[in-house]
Amino acid sequence: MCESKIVAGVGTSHVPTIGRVIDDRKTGESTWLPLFTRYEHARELLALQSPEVAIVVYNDHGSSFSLDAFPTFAVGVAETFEPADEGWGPRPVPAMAGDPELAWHIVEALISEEFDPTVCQRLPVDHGLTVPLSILWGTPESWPVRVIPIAVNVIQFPTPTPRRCFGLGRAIRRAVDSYAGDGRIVVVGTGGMSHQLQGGRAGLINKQFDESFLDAIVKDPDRLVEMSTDDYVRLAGTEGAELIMWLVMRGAMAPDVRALYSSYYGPVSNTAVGIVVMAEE
Amino acid sequence: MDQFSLTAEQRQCVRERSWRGLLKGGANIFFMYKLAALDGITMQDVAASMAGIPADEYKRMMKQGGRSFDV
Repeated sequence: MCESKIVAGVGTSHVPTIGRVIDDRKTGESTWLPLFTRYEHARELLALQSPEVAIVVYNDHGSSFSLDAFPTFAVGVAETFEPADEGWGPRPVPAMAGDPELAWHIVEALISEEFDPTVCQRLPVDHGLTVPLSILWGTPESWPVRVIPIAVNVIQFPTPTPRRCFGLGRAIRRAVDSYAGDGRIVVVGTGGMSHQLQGGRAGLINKQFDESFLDAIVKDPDRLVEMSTDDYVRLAGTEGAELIMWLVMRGAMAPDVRALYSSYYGPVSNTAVGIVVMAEE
Repeated sequence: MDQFSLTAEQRQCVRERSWRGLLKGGANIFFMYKLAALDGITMQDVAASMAGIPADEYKRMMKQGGRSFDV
Protein backbone atom coordinates (compact mmCIF):
# COMPACT_ATOMS: atom_id res chain seq x y z
CA MET A 1 0.00 0.00 0.00
CA CYS A 2 1.26 3.44 -0.89
CA GLU A 3 1.28 5.98 1.85
CA SER A 4 2.86 9.36 2.31
CA LYS A 5 3.27 10.57 5.82
CA ILE A 6 4.63 13.58 7.67
CA VAL A 7 7.05 12.01 10.13
CA ALA A 8 8.62 15.13 11.63
CA GLY A 9 8.54 18.91 11.77
CA VAL A 10 11.59 21.09 12.27
CA GLY A 11 11.96 24.78 13.01
CA THR A 12 15.45 26.17 12.51
CA SER A 13 17.31 29.41 11.93
CA HIS A 14 19.00 29.84 8.55
CA VAL A 15 21.86 32.22 9.43
CA PRO A 16 24.42 32.52 6.56
CA THR A 17 27.36 32.43 9.00
CA ILE A 18 26.36 28.92 10.09
CA GLY A 19 26.57 27.79 6.46
CA ARG A 20 30.01 29.35 6.15
CA VAL A 21 31.26 27.57 9.29
CA ILE A 22 30.03 24.23 7.88
CA ASP A 23 31.54 24.93 4.44
CA ASP A 24 34.88 25.87 6.00
CA ARG A 25 34.75 22.69 8.14
CA LYS A 26 35.06 24.71 11.34
CA THR A 27 32.22 23.08 13.25
CA GLY A 28 34.65 21.35 15.63
CA GLU A 29 36.40 24.57 16.67
CA SER A 30 35.86 25.61 20.25
CA THR A 31 33.83 28.70 19.27
CA TRP A 32 31.38 26.60 17.30
CA LEU A 33 31.36 23.25 19.05
CA PRO A 34 28.59 24.15 21.54
CA LEU A 35 26.24 25.05 18.66
CA PHE A 36 27.10 22.01 16.55
CA THR A 37 26.79 19.66 19.51
CA ARG A 38 23.19 20.83 19.68
CA TYR A 39 22.75 20.28 15.96
CA GLU A 40 24.23 16.79 16.30
CA HIS A 41 21.47 15.89 18.77
CA ALA A 42 18.81 17.31 16.46
CA ARG A 43 20.25 15.37 13.49
CA GLU A 44 20.29 12.07 15.33
CA LEU A 45 16.69 12.44 16.48
CA LEU A 46 15.51 13.46 13.03
CA ALA A 47 17.39 10.56 11.42
CA LEU A 48 15.40 8.13 13.61
CA GLN A 49 12.28 9.31 11.75
CA SER A 50 13.92 8.28 8.41
CA PRO A 51 12.64 11.17 6.28
CA GLU A 52 12.90 10.77 2.49
CA VAL A 53 11.43 14.10 1.43
CA ALA A 54 11.91 17.56 2.94
CA ILE A 55 9.32 20.24 2.32
CA VAL A 56 11.35 23.33 3.20
CA VAL A 57 9.57 26.59 3.93
CA TYR A 58 12.10 29.35 3.41
CA ASN A 59 12.51 32.79 1.97
CA ASP A 60 14.54 34.02 -0.95
CA HIS A 61 16.81 36.99 -0.17
CA GLY A 62 16.83 38.59 -3.61
CA SER A 63 18.71 35.66 -5.16
CA SER A 64 16.03 34.20 -7.44
CA PHE A 65 13.31 36.83 -7.08
CA SER A 66 13.78 40.54 -7.47
CA LEU A 67 11.51 43.36 -6.38
CA ASP A 68 10.32 43.50 -10.01
CA ALA A 69 8.20 40.47 -9.13
CA PHE A 70 8.20 38.96 -5.66
CA PRO A 71 5.75 36.11 -5.06
CA THR A 72 3.99 35.91 -1.71
CA PHE A 73 4.07 32.11 -1.89
CA ALA A 74 5.95 29.94 -4.40
CA VAL A 75 6.45 26.19 -4.84
CA GLY A 76 9.49 24.65 -6.56
CA VAL A 77 8.46 21.80 -8.88
CA ALA A 78 11.81 21.29 -10.64
CA GLU A 79 13.77 18.03 -10.98
CA THR A 80 16.76 19.68 -9.29
CA PHE A 81 17.56 22.88 -7.45
CA GLU A 82 20.99 24.48 -7.67
CA PRO A 83 22.47 26.49 -4.78
CA ALA A 84 22.15 30.18 -5.71
CA ASP A 85 25.08 32.52 -6.17
CA GLU A 86 24.55 35.18 -3.51
CA GLY A 87 27.52 37.25 -4.59
CA TRP A 88 30.46 35.09 -3.50
CA GLY A 89 29.76 32.11 -5.75
CA PRO A 90 27.26 29.37 -4.85
CA ARG A 91 27.78 27.49 -1.57
CA PRO A 92 29.86 24.33 -2.18
CA VAL A 93 26.92 22.01 -1.50
CA PRO A 94 25.37 19.41 -3.80
CA ALA A 95 22.40 20.33 -5.97
CA MET A 96 19.12 19.19 -4.44
CA ALA A 97 16.94 16.60 -6.13
CA GLY A 98 13.34 17.72 -6.28
CA ASP A 99 10.17 15.66 -6.10
CA PRO A 100 8.16 16.99 -9.06
CA GLU A 101 5.33 14.50 -8.62
CA LEU A 102 4.58 15.43 -5.02
CA ALA A 103 5.35 19.10 -5.68
CA TRP A 104 2.82 19.27 -8.52
CA HIS A 105 0.29 17.44 -6.37
CA ILE A 106 0.79 20.09 -3.67
CA VAL A 107 0.41 22.88 -6.24
CA GLU A 108 -2.83 21.40 -7.57
CA ALA A 109 -4.18 20.78 -4.08
CA LEU A 110 -3.30 24.32 -2.94
CA ILE A 111 -4.93 25.91 -5.98
CA SER A 112 -8.07 23.82 -5.54
CA GLU A 113 -8.19 25.21 -1.98
CA GLU A 114 -7.78 28.76 -3.31
CA PHE A 115 -4.18 29.23 -2.28
CA ASP A 116 -2.53 30.37 -5.52
CA PRO A 117 1.24 29.93 -5.32
CA THR A 118 3.70 30.91 -8.01
CA VAL A 119 4.97 27.71 -9.64
CA CYS A 120 8.74 27.63 -10.16
CA GLN A 121 10.21 25.36 -12.83
CA ARG A 122 13.66 26.77 -12.10
CA LEU A 123 14.56 28.05 -8.67
CA PRO A 124 18.15 28.47 -7.49
CA VAL A 125 17.88 28.33 -3.69
CA ASP A 126 19.90 30.54 -1.38
CA HIS A 127 21.07 30.22 2.23
CA GLY A 128 17.46 30.38 3.40
CA LEU A 129 17.09 26.77 2.22
CA THR A 130 20.63 25.40 1.97
CA VAL A 131 21.74 26.33 5.50
CA PRO A 132 18.89 24.36 7.13
CA LEU A 133 19.80 21.35 4.94
CA SER A 134 23.42 21.59 6.12
CA ILE A 135 22.27 21.94 9.73
CA LEU A 136 20.11 18.82 9.45
CA TRP A 137 22.25 16.62 7.19
CA GLY A 138 25.81 17.94 7.42
CA THR A 139 28.13 17.67 4.41
CA PRO A 140 27.02 14.61 2.39
CA GLU A 141 28.08 13.97 -1.21
CA SER A 142 24.44 13.98 -2.12
CA TRP A 143 21.48 14.99 0.04
CA PRO A 144 19.65 12.04 1.61
CA VAL A 145 16.25 13.67 0.99
CA ARG A 146 14.37 14.99 -2.03
CA VAL A 147 13.51 18.65 -1.55
CA ILE A 148 10.36 20.67 -2.21
CA PRO A 149 11.03 24.37 -1.67
CA ILE A 150 8.12 26.52 -0.50
CA ALA A 151 9.15 30.18 -0.69
CA VAL A 152 7.38 32.82 1.41
CA ASN A 153 7.79 36.55 1.04
CA VAL A 154 9.03 37.84 4.38
CA ILE A 155 11.41 40.50 3.03
CA GLN A 156 9.16 43.13 1.47
CA PHE A 157 5.90 44.39 2.93
CA PRO A 158 3.09 43.51 2.73
CA THR A 159 4.01 40.02 3.94
CA PRO A 160 1.41 37.29 4.44
CA THR A 161 -0.29 37.21 7.84
CA PRO A 162 0.71 34.66 10.47
CA ARG A 163 -2.76 33.11 10.16
CA ARG A 164 -2.40 32.75 6.39
CA CYS A 165 0.95 31.03 6.88
CA PHE A 166 -0.57 28.56 9.33
CA GLY A 167 -3.45 28.01 6.89
CA LEU A 168 -0.96 27.28 4.12
CA GLY A 169 0.54 24.63 6.37
CA ARG A 170 -2.89 23.07 6.98
CA ALA A 171 -3.48 22.98 3.21
CA ILE A 172 -0.07 21.37 2.62
CA ARG A 173 -1.02 18.74 5.20
CA ARG A 174 -4.26 17.94 3.39
CA ALA A 175 -2.31 17.75 0.12
CA VAL A 176 0.11 15.22 1.62
CA ASP A 177 -2.78 13.21 3.08
CA SER A 178 -4.45 13.01 -0.34
CA TYR A 179 -1.26 12.03 -2.18
CA ALA A 180 -1.31 8.57 -3.76
CA GLY A 181 2.49 8.16 -3.73
CA ASP A 182 4.86 6.99 -1.06
CA GLY A 183 7.14 9.00 1.14
CA ARG A 184 8.24 9.84 4.65
CA ILE A 185 8.19 13.61 4.84
CA VAL A 186 9.79 16.16 7.13
CA VAL A 187 8.45 19.71 6.97
CA VAL A 188 11.07 22.33 7.83
CA GLY A 189 10.15 25.88 8.80
CA THR A 190 13.18 28.15 8.58
CA GLY A 191 14.30 31.61 9.67
CA GLY A 192 14.49 33.58 12.88
CA MET A 193 14.80 33.69 15.69
CA SER A 194 14.72 37.31 16.89
CA HIS A 195 16.85 39.72 14.88
CA GLN A 196 16.75 43.11 13.29
CA LEU A 197 19.22 44.08 10.58
CA GLN A 198 17.99 47.59 9.90
CA GLY A 199 17.40 50.99 11.42
CA GLY A 200 18.23 52.31 14.86
CA ARG A 201 17.09 49.10 16.56
CA ALA A 202 19.56 46.94 14.57
CA GLY A 203 21.04 44.20 16.72
CA LEU A 204 17.83 43.50 18.62
CA ILE A 205 17.65 40.11 20.34
CA ASN A 206 14.62 39.12 22.44
CA LYS A 207 15.57 35.97 24.29
CA GLN A 208 12.41 35.93 26.37
CA PHE A 209 10.21 36.04 23.28
CA ASP A 210 12.31 33.42 21.47
CA GLU A 211 12.09 30.98 24.36
CA SER A 212 8.35 31.46 24.64
CA PHE A 213 8.04 30.97 20.86
CA LEU A 214 10.06 27.72 21.01
CA ASP A 215 7.69 26.45 23.68
CA ALA A 216 4.47 27.63 22.02
CA ILE A 217 5.33 26.36 18.54
CA VAL A 218 5.03 22.88 20.05
CA LYS A 219 2.29 23.26 22.67
CA ASP A 220 0.21 26.29 21.81
CA PRO A 221 0.58 27.38 18.17
CA ASP A 222 -2.82 29.14 18.29
CA ARG A 223 -1.25 31.83 20.45
CA LEU A 224 1.40 32.44 17.76
CA VAL A 225 -1.19 32.43 14.98
CA GLU A 226 -3.27 35.06 16.76
CA MET A 227 -0.34 37.50 16.96
CA SER A 228 -0.26 40.20 14.27
CA THR A 229 2.59 40.89 11.87
CA ASP A 230 3.22 44.09 13.87
CA ASP A 231 3.52 42.02 17.05
CA TYR A 232 6.20 39.88 15.36
CA VAL A 233 8.11 42.94 14.15
CA ARG A 234 7.95 44.55 17.59
CA LEU A 235 8.86 41.45 19.59
CA ALA A 236 11.18 39.56 17.22
CA GLY A 237 12.51 42.42 15.09
CA THR A 238 11.95 43.38 11.45
CA GLU A 239 13.73 40.25 10.21
CA GLY A 240 12.77 38.06 13.18
CA ALA A 241 9.22 38.43 11.87
CA GLU A 242 10.20 35.72 9.37
CA LEU A 243 9.38 33.28 12.19
CA ILE A 244 5.94 33.13 10.56
CA MET A 245 7.53 30.53 8.27
CA TRP A 246 7.67 28.17 11.26
CA LEU A 247 3.86 28.51 11.39
CA VAL A 248 3.60 26.95 7.91
CA MET A 249 5.51 23.94 9.25
CA ARG A 250 3.38 23.79 12.41
CA GLY A 251 0.19 24.02 10.36
CA ALA A 252 1.29 20.92 8.45
CA MET A 253 1.62 18.94 11.69
CA ALA A 254 -1.19 17.41 13.74
CA PRO A 255 -2.60 19.55 16.57
CA ASP A 256 -0.85 17.38 19.16
CA VAL A 257 2.87 16.97 18.75
CA ARG A 258 5.75 16.31 21.09
CA ALA A 259 9.16 17.96 20.97
CA LEU A 260 11.94 15.47 20.29
CA TYR A 261 14.49 18.24 20.71
CA SER A 262 14.40 21.95 21.41
CA SER A 263 17.29 24.28 22.01
CA TYR A 264 18.00 28.00 22.18
CA TYR A 265 21.51 29.20 21.56
CA GLY A 266 21.40 33.01 21.33
CA PRO A 267 22.93 35.25 18.67
CA VAL A 268 25.24 34.15 15.83
CA SER A 269 26.40 37.31 14.01
CA ASN A 270 23.11 39.27 14.05
CA THR A 271 20.54 36.57 14.69
CA ALA A 272 19.31 34.52 17.63
CA VAL A 273 19.59 30.83 16.82
CA GLY A 274 17.11 28.17 17.86
CA ILE A 275 16.02 24.73 16.72
CA VAL A 276 13.10 22.45 17.44
CA VAL A 277 12.41 18.94 16.16
CA MET A 278 8.91 17.56 16.69
CA ALA A 279 6.91 14.46 15.87
CA GLU A 280 3.26 13.58 16.14
CA GLU A 281 1.95 11.80 19.19
CA MET B 1 21.06 54.88 -11.49
CA ASP B 2 19.49 56.58 -14.52
CA GLN B 3 18.21 53.18 -15.54
CA PHE B 4 16.26 52.87 -12.28
CA SER B 5 15.05 56.51 -12.23
CA LEU B 6 16.46 57.19 -8.76
CA THR B 7 15.82 60.64 -7.30
CA ALA B 8 18.73 63.00 -6.66
CA GLU B 9 18.43 62.26 -2.95
CA GLN B 10 18.48 58.49 -3.49
CA ARG B 11 21.55 58.80 -5.74
CA GLN B 12 23.32 60.80 -3.08
CA CYS B 13 22.58 58.08 -0.52
CA VAL B 14 23.97 55.40 -2.85
CA ARG B 15 27.15 57.40 -3.45
CA GLU B 16 27.67 58.15 0.24
CA ARG B 17 26.55 54.69 1.32
CA SER B 18 24.11 56.37 3.64
CA TRP B 19 22.36 53.19 4.81
CA ARG B 20 19.75 54.96 6.91
CA GLY B 21 19.14 57.39 4.08
CA LEU B 22 18.62 54.50 1.68
CA LEU B 23 16.23 52.86 4.11
CA LYS B 24 14.22 56.08 4.41
CA GLY B 25 14.29 56.40 0.62
CA GLY B 26 12.53 53.06 0.28
CA ALA B 27 15.38 50.57 -0.16
CA ASN B 28 15.08 46.97 0.97
CA ILE B 29 17.75 45.76 3.41
CA PHE B 30 18.60 42.60 1.44
CA PHE B 31 19.17 44.57 -1.75
CA MET B 32 21.09 47.25 0.15
CA TYR B 33 23.27 44.45 1.40
CA LYS B 34 24.28 43.58 -2.17
CA LEU B 35 25.74 47.08 -2.40
CA ALA B 36 27.55 46.57 0.91
CA ALA B 37 28.95 43.24 -0.32
CA LEU B 38 30.46 45.03 -3.32
CA ASP B 39 32.30 47.25 -0.83
CA GLY B 40 33.53 44.15 0.98
CA ILE B 41 31.77 44.99 4.24
CA THR B 42 29.54 42.74 6.33
CA MET B 43 25.91 42.92 7.40
CA GLN B 44 27.21 43.69 10.90
CA ASP B 45 29.03 46.76 9.53
CA VAL B 46 25.85 47.98 7.85
CA ALA B 47 23.77 47.26 10.94
CA ALA B 48 26.27 49.08 13.17
CA SER B 49 26.18 52.10 10.88
CA MET B 50 22.39 52.21 10.94
CA ALA B 51 22.35 51.81 14.71
CA GLY B 52 24.81 54.71 14.92
CA ILE B 53 27.51 52.83 16.84
CA PRO B 54 31.06 51.82 15.86
CA ALA B 55 31.36 48.40 14.22
CA ASP B 56 33.54 46.94 16.98
CA GLU B 57 31.09 48.11 19.62
CA TYR B 58 28.22 46.54 17.66
CA LYS B 59 30.14 43.29 17.35
CA ARG B 60 30.77 43.27 21.08
CA MET B 61 27.10 43.93 21.77
CA MET B 62 26.10 40.91 19.62
CA LYS B 63 28.66 38.67 21.34
CA GLN B 64 27.14 39.67 24.66
CA GLY B 65 23.65 38.66 23.59
CA GLY B 66 22.57 41.56 21.38
CA ARG B 67 20.57 44.72 21.91
CA SER B 68 18.19 43.95 24.73
CA PHE B 69 14.49 44.25 24.19
CA ASP B 70 12.58 46.88 26.13
CA VAL B 71 8.88 47.23 25.53
